[in-house]
Amino acid sequence: MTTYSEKVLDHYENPRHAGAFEKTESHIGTGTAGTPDMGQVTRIQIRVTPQGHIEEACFKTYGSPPAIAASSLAAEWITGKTLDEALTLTSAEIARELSLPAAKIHCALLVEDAVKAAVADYRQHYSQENT
Amino acid sequence: MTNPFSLFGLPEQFDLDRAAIEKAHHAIRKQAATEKDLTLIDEACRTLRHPLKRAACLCSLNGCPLKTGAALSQPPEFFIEQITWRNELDEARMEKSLTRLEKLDERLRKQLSGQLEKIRTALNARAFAAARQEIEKTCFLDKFAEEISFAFDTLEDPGQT
Repeated sequence: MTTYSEKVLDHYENPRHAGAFEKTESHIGTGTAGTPDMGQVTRIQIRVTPQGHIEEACFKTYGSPPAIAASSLAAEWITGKTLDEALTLTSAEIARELSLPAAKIHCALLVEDAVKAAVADYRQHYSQENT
Repeated sequence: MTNPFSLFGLPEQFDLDRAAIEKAHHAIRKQAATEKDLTLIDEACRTLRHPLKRAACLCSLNGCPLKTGAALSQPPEFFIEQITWRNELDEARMEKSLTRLEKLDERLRKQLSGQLEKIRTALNARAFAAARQEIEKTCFLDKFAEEISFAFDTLEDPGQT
């Protein structure tokens, strides 16, 4: 049986920022990603201030405990950051922080891709306001 | 990787006669010298029997292996749909609604069958990169089918939960 680090279990059992923004809200960027062989899917959303800071991030992930923990950690980390800072978040950092075994690195990759997609989605829709 | 098609003496194509697979399986098993050979033969047979595995194998043999263990880029609408379906499954589970589960299952089956048709068309046209894209999408549906099947088990037999 796979054993997970305490940090994985903590984020899995007490996920931070789980959920979704209201569809009516504006200044939202949405990023999605998935891992086909595991059937895991994730969606990360960011709400951005006019100054280009991520005011809040939230996620919805269907997958294993490490995938949920990685999403929770990433949402926590990018909240309060600028868009450029959010783009520097790497799967290696997530994997290191959560002590993910090599076989679970794809969970961190999944989340890194979703964060990058959320920033790209926001910029695509609001590029004229803050770049 | 062993080529299951050549191992079984079957043409490298998506459409295969199930009876021909079983006949070849039976014959080749008789020639197996070791336990390891048998394992290899049975594994090849599972690949040939399962349409998605067979399709993935054809792509792999033609230079388009599936990207396993990696995040995947698909149109966002596709992932949003996957998340919506999983939400619906959660709701059906919470409501213990067999009717909702059956409806979800029916929609999934329709989509799965449509996906297999797309894969068949792409493979017959030898468009392996396009086929791989469709196979990867179908993997999500295949996993979701397992989850639905598990939900049916627990709804029909609450003792298992």
